[in-house]
Amino acid sequence: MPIIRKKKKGVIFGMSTLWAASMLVSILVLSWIVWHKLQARIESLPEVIKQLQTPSISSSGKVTLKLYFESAQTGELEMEEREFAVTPAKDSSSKRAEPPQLPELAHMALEALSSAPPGNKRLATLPKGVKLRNIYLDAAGTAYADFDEQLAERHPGGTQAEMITIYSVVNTLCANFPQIKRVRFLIGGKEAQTLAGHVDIKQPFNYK
Amino acid sequence: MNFRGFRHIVILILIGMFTGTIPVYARELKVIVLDPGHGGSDSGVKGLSGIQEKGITLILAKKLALALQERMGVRVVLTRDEDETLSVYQRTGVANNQKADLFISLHVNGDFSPHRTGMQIYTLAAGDYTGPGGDSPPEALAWESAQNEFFLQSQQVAQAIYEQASRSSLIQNCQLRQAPLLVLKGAHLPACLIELDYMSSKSAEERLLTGEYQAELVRVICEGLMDYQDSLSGWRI
Repeated sequence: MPIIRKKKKGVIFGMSTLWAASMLVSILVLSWIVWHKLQARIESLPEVIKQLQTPSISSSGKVTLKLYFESAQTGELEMEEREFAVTPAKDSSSKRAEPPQLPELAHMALEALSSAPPGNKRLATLPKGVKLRNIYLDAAGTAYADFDEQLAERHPGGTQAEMITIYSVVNTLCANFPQIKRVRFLIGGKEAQTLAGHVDIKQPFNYK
Repeated sequence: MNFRGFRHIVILILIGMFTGTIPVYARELKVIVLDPGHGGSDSGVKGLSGIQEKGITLILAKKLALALQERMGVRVVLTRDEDETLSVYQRTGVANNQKADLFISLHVNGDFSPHRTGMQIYTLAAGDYTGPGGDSPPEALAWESAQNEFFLQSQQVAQAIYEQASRSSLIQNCQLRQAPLLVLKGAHLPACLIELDYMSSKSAEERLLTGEYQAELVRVICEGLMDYQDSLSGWRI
């Protein structure tokens, strides 16, 4: 009995050690492969987002944005393209020039809506002095355009003017940034019922 | 049911069979709620001469109420008859609580152009802002969708007023529009909003203050509603 037990113990110990070692090596190799694959994807992700978020910038450092103004004649929205000079920001860590991101370009586009284009054919659609405080984008493609209180205080009012303001902002954002599917308005960082008493802005608006 | 009643039903069914339509009975207008837009701390559009929208809408609503009572014999309820602040929900609530047959909100328009003039008649736009991430919260659905079953009737009311306004020599331009207007959303009855003219235009503002133009605005709305009433009265094929 003691001889059999000794022999059996040795065999069992040898096999289990070999099995455990091979399993450990397999796990380590698999983990290493998965880690490197994930790392490669994580590193490439910001580049993909940048391509999606920014309209193309020319070699001379200009970006063309689509802006929606009110037609002086018809009272409908009309699109016109305008070039903006962009100054690439220096990334301090990598020392390379970074193209402007969505919030910066959105600020540029929306603040341009406060000034009528040259000529008398098209009109501004945002009151002068209105500032876009911030813009956020959620995973479902809803942009939250947060304007300061001046938007409500300086707005001329009336259903026509409210509709023009709302859809000029919505169309300008959706036309320039394809990942924006719809736009919701915030005033002073808060939800509001209307801009000036008429159009319901509690829900997001789609591109028209 | 007596023989005469039974005979009427048989005749109507036969007419329906011949014309390919089903006879529909539509309710006459008995109670109309007029909503003078803005009021109190909310002055609405401010005119170039300092006149405020809330004052013009109240004057027009009172004149229109008298005309509707005299010419149509309907009961008219105003959401406000003085300069007071009302929420949008209070305004629509009056129409719903009165079990009215029609709700009309009166406003004066504004625009970025100082030259735009004319009337706009709005009905509620059907959900141009819904979609993923844009759906109403479940608790809000009853109020948000109250107007849905009256889209067609609301458009018929707007169309009837539009046709009268288009024939007027004093009203320079008239448009039928749809928009997601908060005051129409919760209305559980036919409803529309009329932007009478633009206070952002000096010429339109001056015109709005004249008795002649006010009388014309009252006339076209009143006669539009009379046309709508005629289209509803009795059996309609």
